[in-house]
Amino acid sequence: MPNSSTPPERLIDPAVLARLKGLRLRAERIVEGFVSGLHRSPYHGFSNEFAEHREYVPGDDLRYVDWRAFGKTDKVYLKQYEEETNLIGYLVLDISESMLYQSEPTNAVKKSLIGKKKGNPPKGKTAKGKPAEVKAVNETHPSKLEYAQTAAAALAYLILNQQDAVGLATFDDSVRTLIKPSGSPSQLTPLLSAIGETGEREKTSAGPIFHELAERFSRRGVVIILSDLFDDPESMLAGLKHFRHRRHDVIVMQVLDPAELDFPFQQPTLFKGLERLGELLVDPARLRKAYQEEFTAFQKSVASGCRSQGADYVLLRTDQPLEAALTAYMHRRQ
Amino acid sequence: MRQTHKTTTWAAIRFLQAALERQARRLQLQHWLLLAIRTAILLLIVLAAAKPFLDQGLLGGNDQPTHRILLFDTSLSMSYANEQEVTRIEQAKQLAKQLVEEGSSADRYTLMSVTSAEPLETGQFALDRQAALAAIKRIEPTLGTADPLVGFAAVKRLLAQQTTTDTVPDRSEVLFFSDLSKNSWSSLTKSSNENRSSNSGESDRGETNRGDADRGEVSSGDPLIAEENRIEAGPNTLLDQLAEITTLTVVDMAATNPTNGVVNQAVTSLELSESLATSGRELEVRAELSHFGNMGEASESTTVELLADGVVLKTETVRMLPNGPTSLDFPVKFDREGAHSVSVRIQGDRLKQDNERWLALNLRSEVRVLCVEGSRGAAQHVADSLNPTGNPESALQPEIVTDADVSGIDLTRFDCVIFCNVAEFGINEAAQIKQYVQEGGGAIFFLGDQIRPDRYRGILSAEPSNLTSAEPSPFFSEEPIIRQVAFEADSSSADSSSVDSSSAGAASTLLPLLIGAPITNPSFGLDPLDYAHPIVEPFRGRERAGLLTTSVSRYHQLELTDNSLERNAQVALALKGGDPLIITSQFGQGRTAVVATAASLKSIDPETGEVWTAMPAWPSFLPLVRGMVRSVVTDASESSACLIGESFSKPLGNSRLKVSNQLLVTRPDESNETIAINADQAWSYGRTNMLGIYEVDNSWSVAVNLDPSESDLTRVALDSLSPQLTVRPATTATQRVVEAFGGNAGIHRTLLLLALALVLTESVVACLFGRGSA
Repeated sequence: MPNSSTPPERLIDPAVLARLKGLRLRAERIVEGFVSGLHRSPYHGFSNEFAEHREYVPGDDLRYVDWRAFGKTDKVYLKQYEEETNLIGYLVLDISESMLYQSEPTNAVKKSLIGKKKGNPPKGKTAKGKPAEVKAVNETHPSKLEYAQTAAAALAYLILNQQDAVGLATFDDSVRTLIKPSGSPSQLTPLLSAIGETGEREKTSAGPIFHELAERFSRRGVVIILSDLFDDPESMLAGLKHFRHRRHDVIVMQVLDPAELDFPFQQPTLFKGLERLGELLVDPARLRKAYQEEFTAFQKSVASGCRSQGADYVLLRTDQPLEAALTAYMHRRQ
Repeated sequence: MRQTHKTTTWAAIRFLQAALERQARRLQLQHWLLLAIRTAILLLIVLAAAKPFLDQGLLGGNDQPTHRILLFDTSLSMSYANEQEVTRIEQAKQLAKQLVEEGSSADRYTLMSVTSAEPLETGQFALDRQAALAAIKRIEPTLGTADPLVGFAAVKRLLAQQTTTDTVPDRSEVLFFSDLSKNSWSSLTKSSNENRSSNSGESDRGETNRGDADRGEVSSGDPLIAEENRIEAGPNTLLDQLAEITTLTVVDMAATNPTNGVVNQAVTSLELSESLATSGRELEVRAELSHFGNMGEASESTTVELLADGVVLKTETVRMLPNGPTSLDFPVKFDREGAHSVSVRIQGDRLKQDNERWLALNLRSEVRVLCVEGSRGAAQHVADSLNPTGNPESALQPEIVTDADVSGIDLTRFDCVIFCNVAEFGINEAAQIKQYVQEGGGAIFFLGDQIRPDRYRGILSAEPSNLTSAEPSPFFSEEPIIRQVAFEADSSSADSSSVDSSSAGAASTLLPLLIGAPITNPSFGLDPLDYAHPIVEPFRGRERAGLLTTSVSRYHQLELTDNSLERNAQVALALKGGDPLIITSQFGQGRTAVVATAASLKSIDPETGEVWTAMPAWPSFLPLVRGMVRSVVTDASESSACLIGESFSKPLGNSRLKVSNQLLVTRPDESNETIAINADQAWSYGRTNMLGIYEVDNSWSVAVNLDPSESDLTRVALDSLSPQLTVRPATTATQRVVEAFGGNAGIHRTLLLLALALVLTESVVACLFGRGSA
């Protein structure tokens, strides 16, 4: 489990970055950069991309008068060009306690990865939170937080690599870290440090946090949210709406553990809730159908809420390769 | 203690909690549903098990033990089959069977079969369920008619007996399974009730001899009950009385058929077109075919077959007329005398029994007539009119003898005896003549100047009952002097006789009339009385044949006695003044005719010196004599026919005395039965429950046919029935009928079936619920 001592270089997997090479995160909507870049700007500047003609008014710069049009029409027009600017990416990373969950792989996977280890209880943070168990699980698939951290690091690298600016915010029940966007290559180091740093973990409180961040992200950009979104959907969607109101391009990446989706438990199990939500002793076999109905309803409400807000929704399963998920999404977005 | 479950952390605990709540709600709903089903199962089983208590009145009066009296109309019309070849009586039995099966075990049943053809089975009073079911199986359709009034009268008697029987439930219900045919039920319509009420004091003299004397006490054909009902109560009163003590329901077994759309074809009549049939001559048989329920349309072509002695003689194809019967004439000839049979049959329809009709012919080789003359030449004109040419091959063969020879002649050798101007008869002679007529012989009396009326009275004719009466008789109002003289003389010779004894004597005399002294009252014409009598009927339309101009100067006054109606006495021909000239009457199996004047021209009026009548020389004499012979001679087929259920008999003459006291009767199905001859040489056979020819001693045959009225399946108008009767249609959904009758017997079965269905449902639902939660 990554904690405050997670080394930054661990978050950058060369293999992942190699597969992401060549990809670019383009803003689907207009973003406000501060230098010329790949992305459409709301301003009409003086780039090479012709936009329209405008009648001359006194005070306009004569350098942009279209003399050819003046020669033909005897009227003075100014040539306007669409400005292209750089992208500002805001990475919003959920570091709440629920993101620490990491299940053991299914039997088939476990056999192939762990060999003869049978009957191991689901790994993750036990009641006592022994790190050794988490480490053992890391050999199979990471926790949601690890997965999200890796994804955030890869995206930061990707954005910086395409000459765009990137910032970061981490949160649980409040904003823990906030790094302003910068396109400097040196930005990567503090970003990775901040991504790897996770402090006191609390309950997820996405809704208020999104409202706060929407206020604090002053320029339009691409907001990439990496979270399991285990919060009240209505509150969370209200926060997203705030982002959209501030004209941000929003990408919601919901990071989920396969066990949370499939609920593969068979024997009676005592489930100890993270984020201090109590514990339940249930027979999973009898409860699976009802659980899946509830969880599917939640997932659908989030997905449909995102689509209704004009935000992209991406489901990231921690048992799937990150590079494959990101590559698929990037290709689709382009 | 060893831990029995695993422990893990879980991020999505809120969904687990929501799932638990959802699961709990679903389980709760499922448990409630299962609880409801299981409770319903227990409740239904308890209710079904509690049926005996429910029957005892917890659910109301309909469940009280009931004495159900089931009346079955087993008349011919109930044999009408539907499209599935199921007869109405079979449907009625099925309904009754279901009713009994579904009824309470405490119910009791009495079954009655209402028909004229079979006696009602007795000993079926208040049967339990099993016995009632067995009795229903034994009920069979008959070929007779049914009078529902007889059935209801029997019910009334039954219920009167029931009051003294402790084992029979107090509550009773009468169910009459019938097709409500008009023929049977017209006696219970409102108009019929009114008519009967107005005529309640009159006896029904037209009642035929239905039923046998040895039938059961409660017999459908019991004339006592019918008579008791008709005379004492009347249908309205009877039904009123019954309705006060029970419920009267008629189950309409023909409700599914259109009211008048039931088509039936039948042979409704078969008879000889002529009388005095003899062998060796061609006879004409007339058949009548009827097409009932035809709705004004002629029938399809139907094949009609004539059979003589069982052999098909002729086949014709006819279309029956829509209005009235269709007549067909067939010639038939039998070379030998004796018993023969003729039948006519048509193609089958849904009521097969009435598609054939039989005619029994007991043919003579010739008609022998004995002419007895009281004076020389008195019978010559009569004999000449019977066989004018003396042809020995003639069908009529007269033989003239004197009155002195009568005592030595076996009269049974002759088919008819004509007495012409015979002055008097001795007691033995009178007895001989009476027996002869009683056994079926025919006797004709021509009076004349030799006649001594006082010698006839008390021997052959009646004694006058008003000899001492001070009031003049209207009969002699025109000739008071002659009447007074004549009867004073009679009074002196019979002064010891009383009124009662004379009445009793009149009942046993051969002639139901009084013979008065001769009077001179010239009449130059005769009154044919609308040609109503068969003797004069041939003169209808032939006014110039001489009948109306026949002159009669002197004659004996004839007066009918009180018992003349019983003896079917009729005035065939009258004089212009109204005095009867020819009177015919019945005596036993034979008939008589009395002619008030002479049969020859030798009777001379002493006052005027003229002949009594010129009639013997008149052209009308020959047809009149022959008509009288035809009238009194028992026809070849007439005495040998009866309807189903009626009894037939024939007195044995002296010449036919049997050595044994038994007779052999061969039934239509070739089975033989022996019947006893009583001391009076009389016998009677009443088991005529089959159609066809019955042979007696292989020498005499009787045709037993259906009552043709039963072939008309027209239903009585339901709204015309007495209001005391509730008519319920018998539908194919028998359960509805049973429920309609107030039966609750199916409740427990329904409850158990519901419980079984719920048990199966519970198993399936529990399985589904278990699988869903697994």
